[in-house]
Amino acid sequence: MKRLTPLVTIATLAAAALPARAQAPRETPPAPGAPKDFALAAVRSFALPNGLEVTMAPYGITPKVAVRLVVQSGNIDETAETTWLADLTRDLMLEGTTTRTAQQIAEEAAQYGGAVAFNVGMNESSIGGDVLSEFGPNMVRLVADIARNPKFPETELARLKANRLRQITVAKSQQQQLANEKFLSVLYPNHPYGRMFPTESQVQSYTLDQVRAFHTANYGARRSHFYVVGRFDAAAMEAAIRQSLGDWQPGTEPVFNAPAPKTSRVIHVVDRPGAVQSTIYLGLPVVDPSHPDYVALRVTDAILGGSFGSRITSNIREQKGYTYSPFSTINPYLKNAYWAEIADVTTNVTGPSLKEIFFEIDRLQSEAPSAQELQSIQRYLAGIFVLQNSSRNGIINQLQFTELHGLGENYLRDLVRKIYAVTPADVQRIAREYLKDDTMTIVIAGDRRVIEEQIKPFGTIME
Amino acid sequence: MRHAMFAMAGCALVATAAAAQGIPSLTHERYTLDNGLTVILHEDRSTPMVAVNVWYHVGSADEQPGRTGFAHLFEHVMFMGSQHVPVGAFDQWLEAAGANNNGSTSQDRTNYFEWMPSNALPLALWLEADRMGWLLPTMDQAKLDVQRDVVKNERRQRVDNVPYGRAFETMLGAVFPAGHPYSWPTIGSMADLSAASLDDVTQFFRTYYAPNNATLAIAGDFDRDSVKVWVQRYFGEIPRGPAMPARPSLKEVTIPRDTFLVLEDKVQLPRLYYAWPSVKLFHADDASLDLLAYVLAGDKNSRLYKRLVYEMQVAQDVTAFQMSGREGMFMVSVTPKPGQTPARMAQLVNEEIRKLSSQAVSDRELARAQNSYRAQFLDRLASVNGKADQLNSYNYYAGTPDYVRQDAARYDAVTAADIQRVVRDYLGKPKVVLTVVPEGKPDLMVKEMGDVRIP
Repeated sequence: MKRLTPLVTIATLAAAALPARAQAPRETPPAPGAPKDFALAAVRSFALPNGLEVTMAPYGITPKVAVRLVVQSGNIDETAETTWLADLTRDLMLEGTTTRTAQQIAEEAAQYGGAVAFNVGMNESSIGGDVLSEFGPNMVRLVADIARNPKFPETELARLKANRLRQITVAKSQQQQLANEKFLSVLYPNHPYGRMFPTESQVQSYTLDQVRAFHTANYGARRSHFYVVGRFDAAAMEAAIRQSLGDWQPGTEPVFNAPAPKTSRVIHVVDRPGAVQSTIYLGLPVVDPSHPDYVALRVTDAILGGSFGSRITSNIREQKGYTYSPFSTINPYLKNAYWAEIADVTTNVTGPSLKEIFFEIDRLQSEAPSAQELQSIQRYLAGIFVLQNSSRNGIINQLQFTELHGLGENYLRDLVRKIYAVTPADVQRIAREYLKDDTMTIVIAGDRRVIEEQIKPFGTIME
Repeated sequence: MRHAMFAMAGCALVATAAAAQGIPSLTHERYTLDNGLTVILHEDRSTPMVAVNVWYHVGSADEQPGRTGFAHLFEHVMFMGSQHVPVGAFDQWLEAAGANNNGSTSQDRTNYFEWMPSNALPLALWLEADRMGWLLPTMDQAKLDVQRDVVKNERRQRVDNVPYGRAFETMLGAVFPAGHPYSWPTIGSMADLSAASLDDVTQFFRTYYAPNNATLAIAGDFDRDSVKVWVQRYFGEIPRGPAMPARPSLKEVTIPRDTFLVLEDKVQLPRLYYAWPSVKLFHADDASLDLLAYVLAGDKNSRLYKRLVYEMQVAQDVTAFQMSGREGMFMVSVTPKPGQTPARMAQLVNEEIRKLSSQAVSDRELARAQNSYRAQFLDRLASVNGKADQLNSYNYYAGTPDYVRQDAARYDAVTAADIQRVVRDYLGKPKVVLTVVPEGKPDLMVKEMGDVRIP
């Protein structure tokens, strides 16, 4: 059955907030002109009888097309004993199919002007690529073959395990990764959301049978969605999808393993003797994108630390010079998300950085932002929304996000309006309700001996 | 609504067939204001977006020894406000208009860019004009000091506190002779950053940040007549600056004999780097060297990846690239797996280079590399932001903003024989070999090359 989503246009910017000014030379910035409506890409969606969803959207003038098969499976489907089994399965799927060797897969994609991107995420995995338009149908067939017909050559298993072990070793030499790992493990104990790396013995223990079983259990039409965005011959692309995936096994619906997040106001230190900077992760679990408060939370985040002009960034970077790249973010998993302020700060100002970050959080809790500050950030988010929907892969990302979190087909159409509906009182309420200082988890990777005295006032330091 | 959608789909089909594999040209209008500012306009109405991109023709290669890193530090200071823009307002006003902005510094140029919904265009132009014309009246020590600290943190985060972070600047210093403007890194040294003074800021601005040393590219959805009025109104009154100091002509860089270096670092695995002096951008051999880098390490079927990583499983990763601006350098790196030595990697890399010099690459290898480049050209033109930067880049390096098809044609024209020839002409010459080793393991250093004759 075919479903047509009508072409929608969105007024992305509120009318100019600044009073109209005479064109005085130089002294004052020009007021923005009248905003233009922005047209989301026209989307056509349909489902195959085996349950596979398909969405196609013509976009742009560049003769390229992005294709992506998204499977709702990932690290969430692992147990405490099988961390990264999803990743190892992916590695082996790229080692060849029943009709193509690994070299042939890579070479074909290169001939099409692209490469196979196969990403395993927490809740979803995706196989796709961005290729020259004339090779779109070929790329569909290649992606389908990788998803459906892995050969799983035993000969490659040891090498791929060794690669993953080296990857872990390299990652653990990076301070930011260590801080991130600790932060996740504190927030999501005993859950895949909290497991960033497996142990070496775990990786060594994985067998080809486990890989095969993971693939069989998690890859199938009913939990998958095929996206096509760019310049393409719609009939040829649809035919290629029907021909190569129409008889794919339906498989099972995803089974969701709900997390039980935790947070408390203590400081976890990952000791890095001699480190010239401290990596700070300061945050806590928050609501996920399906919650009615999520849009207001995003607005709050953008005011606090999620934009160049944001309060924390202005404070610790532009006024004090403590750090180069501070930012706050909301990381949305399925059915849970976390908010965090992340910064690499000079070692000797680790304590002062914490002080300023809490100062800005407290200030937003005690006083609603001005209407002008809020409107500025709303316009920023509306502008970002246009940017996010102005590239092939950006559009797929938006569609994929909407689908994963079950936001409904009007979500993208209504998002800008919802952003503008947030009030100053909402922001203050969100800061109070979700960004509670007294339960904020703090992780610092840095030189413990040097920073210990500085950070003591901000919480009990865990041993 | 339905009608609009079907019309759109129809257009898409026709244009795909017509454009087929083509790289679009960048139709544009270029003109110069009385004060010397070059303006490049390119209309693209496909989305209601516009990009502003300003290039100042000054980079770290214009710095003096003792003040390395200054061009980049200055870039940071440019965001601290100007006479009519309070501290912090530059970002806040742009973000309030739905715009993103940033800047970057290379050896040859510094660029500043905004991309945004098209109604914010006058604001972006006004802000760029204010800092081009009126940066100094509100410049003070505090602005410099805070950005000096930010840049030092940038250096810590990107160089000093990162595994292998100091390898690249070590190679630059070894390939280019002392005092050569490419011999120091764009980020500069901590000592030089500390030494930068407010007087340096004033002098640098007066010397280089003049309209006659800048180009302004605007790409996207705009009305050409309105834009010309705005550009004249905001930029027209900025006075022309003095003529630019002559850049020293760069002598051809040669290394008399293979040079071996070692760097101890907080790393788990050693890594081996090679660097050869090569050629500048658009030199007759530049595209062949780019494609050679792809053949060596560009994809999973590339020579070094396939043999060292995939088949023999002795290397963790391999890279190769041709870096070209007003100077060029060709680099290769290999990270051995645990239990494998850098010396063994050197032997294997040398073998692969020798093979490439004695036998031409296959048609398929060449086609893969060429298709990859064609796709990259298209990607750079996919956004108005990318287009605006390309217009400025081509205007600067090739003398005309619309050079993308000629640029792409360089890669199509490369033959297997060209690749074989550049292997001999460049990779056969003396080079710098750097081994980054875990602390306390200097013995892992590669100290000699053995027999690496290239036929």
